[in-house]
Amino acid sequence: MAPIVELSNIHKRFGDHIAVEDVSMQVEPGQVYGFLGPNGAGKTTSIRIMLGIIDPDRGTRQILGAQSALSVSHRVGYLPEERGLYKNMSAQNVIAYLGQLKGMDGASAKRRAGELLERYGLADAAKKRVKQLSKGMAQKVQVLSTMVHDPDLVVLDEPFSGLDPVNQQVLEDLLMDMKQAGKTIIFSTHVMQHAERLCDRIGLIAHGRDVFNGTVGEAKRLLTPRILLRTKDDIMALHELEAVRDVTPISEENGVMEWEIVTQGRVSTEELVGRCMEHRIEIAHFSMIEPSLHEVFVHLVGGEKAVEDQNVSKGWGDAT
Amino acid sequence: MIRGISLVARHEFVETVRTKSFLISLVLIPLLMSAGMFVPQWLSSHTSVIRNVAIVDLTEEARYGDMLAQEIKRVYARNALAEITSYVRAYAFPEFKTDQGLDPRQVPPLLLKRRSDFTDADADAFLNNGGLVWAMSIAAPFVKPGSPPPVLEPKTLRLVDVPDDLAKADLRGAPADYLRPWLTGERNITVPDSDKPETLSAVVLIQPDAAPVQPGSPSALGYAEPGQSVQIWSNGALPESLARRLPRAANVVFQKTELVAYAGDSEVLERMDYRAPLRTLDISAKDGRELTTADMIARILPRALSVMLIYFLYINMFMLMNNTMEEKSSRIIEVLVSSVTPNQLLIGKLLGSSLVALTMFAFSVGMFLAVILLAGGSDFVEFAGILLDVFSKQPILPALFVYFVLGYFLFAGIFLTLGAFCETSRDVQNMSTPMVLLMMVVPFVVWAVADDPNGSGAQLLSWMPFFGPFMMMARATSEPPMLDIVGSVLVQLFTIAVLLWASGKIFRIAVLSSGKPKVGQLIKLVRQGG
Repeated sequence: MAPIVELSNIHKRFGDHIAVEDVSMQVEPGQVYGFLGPNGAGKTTSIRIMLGIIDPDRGTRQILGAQSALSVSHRVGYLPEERGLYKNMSAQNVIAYLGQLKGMDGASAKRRAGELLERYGLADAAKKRVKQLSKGMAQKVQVLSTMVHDPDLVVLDEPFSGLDPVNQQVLEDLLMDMKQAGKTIIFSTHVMQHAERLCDRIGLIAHGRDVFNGTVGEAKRLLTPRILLRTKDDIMALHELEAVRDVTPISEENGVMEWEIVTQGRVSTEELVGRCMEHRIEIAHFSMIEPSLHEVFVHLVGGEKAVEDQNVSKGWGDAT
Repeated sequence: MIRGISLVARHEFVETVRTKSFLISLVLIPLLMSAGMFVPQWLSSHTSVIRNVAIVDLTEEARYGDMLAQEIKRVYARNALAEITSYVRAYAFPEFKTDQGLDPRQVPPLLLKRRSDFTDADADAFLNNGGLVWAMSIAAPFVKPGSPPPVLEPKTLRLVDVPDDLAKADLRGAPADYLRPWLTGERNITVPDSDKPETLSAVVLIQPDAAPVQPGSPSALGYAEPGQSVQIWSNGALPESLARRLPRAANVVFQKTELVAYAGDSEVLERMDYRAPLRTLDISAKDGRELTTADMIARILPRALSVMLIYFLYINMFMLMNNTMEEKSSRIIEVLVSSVTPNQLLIGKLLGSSLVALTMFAFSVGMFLAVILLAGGSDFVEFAGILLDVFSKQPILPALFVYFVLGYFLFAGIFLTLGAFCETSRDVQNMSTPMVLLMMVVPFVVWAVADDPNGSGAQLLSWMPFFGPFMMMARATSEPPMLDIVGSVLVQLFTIAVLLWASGKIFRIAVLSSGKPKVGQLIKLVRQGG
């Protein structure tokens, strides 16, 4: 099946500032794709290129089988970063207007807007002006406006930023609803927990360049898991193992010491346990903890982040 | 493509006309325009202070005092008669009217007169025969029943008797000590039509040897000897209502005295009111055509509308910039440009906002005329009638429409693009300043040149971008050559096309940018095609 979105070797420069350089991504139908990276990494620019809002200097773009994103805009829903709405319009009208811009006729757009508002508990807010809604409600309206025309692809730029935990959960549920309805979802974020919970695939971008592309599992395998071991015995003998790089005591309780074993590459549980038995180490507890996506993120881009943050907003024309 | 443009245009129009600020502007602008006309009149009729003036004539046989008092009363009488005749012109039965005003074969000559036509004899007849009642008895047969009563200019000057103590004082030479208590309010006077003590505002003191003086002599230029002068005393500067009337009346009295003395016959004064049998005619008609007030208004009105046009554009340009700034700062513009092209967005916004501006403009002009018709006094009813006549006979309304649209699109593309760079109201102010300055200069230049509407200056400006629509509007009733009309429109259309082309290229980048552009960057963008 042809990918829904395919960016190949995209370059974009604003004045002297290189916003994205050689970025590629591929999103398959029905996937939830997380576009991850620190502030100023080039996520928004990549999304804008993807949606045809701006053109790349180099590279190719294909979205829903078309090279012109505008020609398929009726099949795409988009929620920009730092989003807003027309404050003086009613919630229903603003959703309907954006639906009309995506090709719906006026009556259908209004009816569908009403249905969405009702389904997501905002029926009472339908006739209220956006400025009369709470922040959470307004944000929900914004997301609904990306769905009103029943798009095949929904692109959300930093959808979780500024949301309180309750509304973050509401948005996650909403995205899961979309996923179950077979929609393809791309969202950018720098909060890894959301990506970890929601994404089938992730793309990590830093300093305008691709750093990683793959599944969450593949990302986690980039780091070795942490091994925790609790015992009353001395485990320094484990240093003899070639794969063990360091053994560090963490805590002690009732004479039982907890150790963290840092390895180089993956070490099999059997080998470690076998070596413990050889040295008569009595194991009270043994666990292998997978790295979080956050740890992978910090590992991959942590060193560059500070530099990249300084590159944000370099003046007019900078649209990273 | 058309669908996207029409959706954006409709949204821009509907959402703007529903805002409180638009509705307030819609009501406020014609109200303010009307208030500019009516409030001064209302204030003068409701808040006018009556100034008490005493005349002391120290000349032998008191030659001038009574004449001066009569001259002052005549000013009021002439004003009242002018109001009455204006009232008749506004409310007369149609059978008493012709194209040029009232029918001279049916209406008495007194009612045909305008303010400058009334003679001393007319004023004296008004004063001696019962004033308003007498004038209305002449006017009433020609006025439609049920017409509102005429509104007369209130009296602002009351002639009072000289207080006894002052009359007995020796006011020759140095009268200040005697006059001071009366003019500073230390002592008050009583007047027949007021039960409150009143202050004396001015004393006209005609010194014993005052006499007419030759023009150009030092005495005629304010250097008369104290004993030979006509002195007007007041506490501080003379109130404005007296500052013009008292010197003028005194001059008229002394001129008349000299004239009668020279001619040896007081009938010479009646001869002074003789007039040339003037007719002002327009050569454009086959046998000439009588020029009327409507012709004068037709000449001036387009100039006034031209200035009004640019101020309306000014208001609407800020609305346009603010709307775009809000869309940009809320980032909703990104959703828009992911659905329609930036050019579709730009054109849609321009069309929608031009409809908003046109609605406001048409409503304001209509309301203004309605307010004049409904709320005005007799002067205004007559004026409104003439205005409607001018609108119906001259190509003002079509010109207004065409030049408004041209003017709008000349400026709107630029303002819209500037708005696309703005994220705050302060940005709007800063970015719009150069264009606002240009818009402020245009009406001054147009007004200065429009006095000679078909002169070379007016022709040149008609062909210049940005000035053309306003200059041509100011020339609308002056029958400009067809070459100027077509040429000016083509130049403006070409300028609009170039500006929109450049705006489109800059706009698509501006809506997504942050920070301020430099001129060099803008030029580079246009050259590179955005």
